[in-house]
Amino acid sequence: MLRSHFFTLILFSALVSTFFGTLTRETAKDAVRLGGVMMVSMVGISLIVAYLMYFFPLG
Amino acid sequence: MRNGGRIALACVLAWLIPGGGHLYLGKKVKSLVFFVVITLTFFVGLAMDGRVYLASSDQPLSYLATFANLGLGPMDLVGRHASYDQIIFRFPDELDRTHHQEILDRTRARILVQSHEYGTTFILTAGLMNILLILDVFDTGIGRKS
Repeated sequence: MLRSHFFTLILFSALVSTFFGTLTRETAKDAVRLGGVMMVSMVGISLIVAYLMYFFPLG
Repeated sequence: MRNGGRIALACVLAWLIPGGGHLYLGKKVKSLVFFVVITLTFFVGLAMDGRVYLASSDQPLSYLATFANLGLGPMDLVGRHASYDQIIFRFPDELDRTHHQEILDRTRARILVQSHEYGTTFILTAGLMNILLILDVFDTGIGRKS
């Protein structure tokens, strides 16, 4: 199940962002906004770090 | 019920059922979201062949991981049964060879699955999120948070 690393990243980010958005904000609008920013940040930073790791030697 | 007892009950409910404490405090929508998110995170972790941790004196950090798993309350027992086919919290002593080898074999079988590490992270995260919920219920109960 879930052999795609990218889909796993998206799913994990979505779940954690939804949790923290709901936990730390009182209105639905604020929760969705924070959750969206968190999710985009988590996915974006992961992709940047993954891209930078491309230059590291494998061995 | 006195306020202290009400807060304690809310915290216990939060530990027993993800979102249960918030439901008790009257936050129905939040409790539903928490229940769905934490339960989904946990079961996706199990479906990815993740496992719950066992405390082992050889690996001190395993105590922290086991504590994080225990944050899930009764759901943690489901995870232990799925991971090891029995309810167990400590890694068996090497003197108990048969049991030790049995748990070692079950652990190795899961580790070999490609998605094992991801699944274990999902399960750990579900436990940590539920611990945060218990703290949030406590803060709300004492009036530190609205």
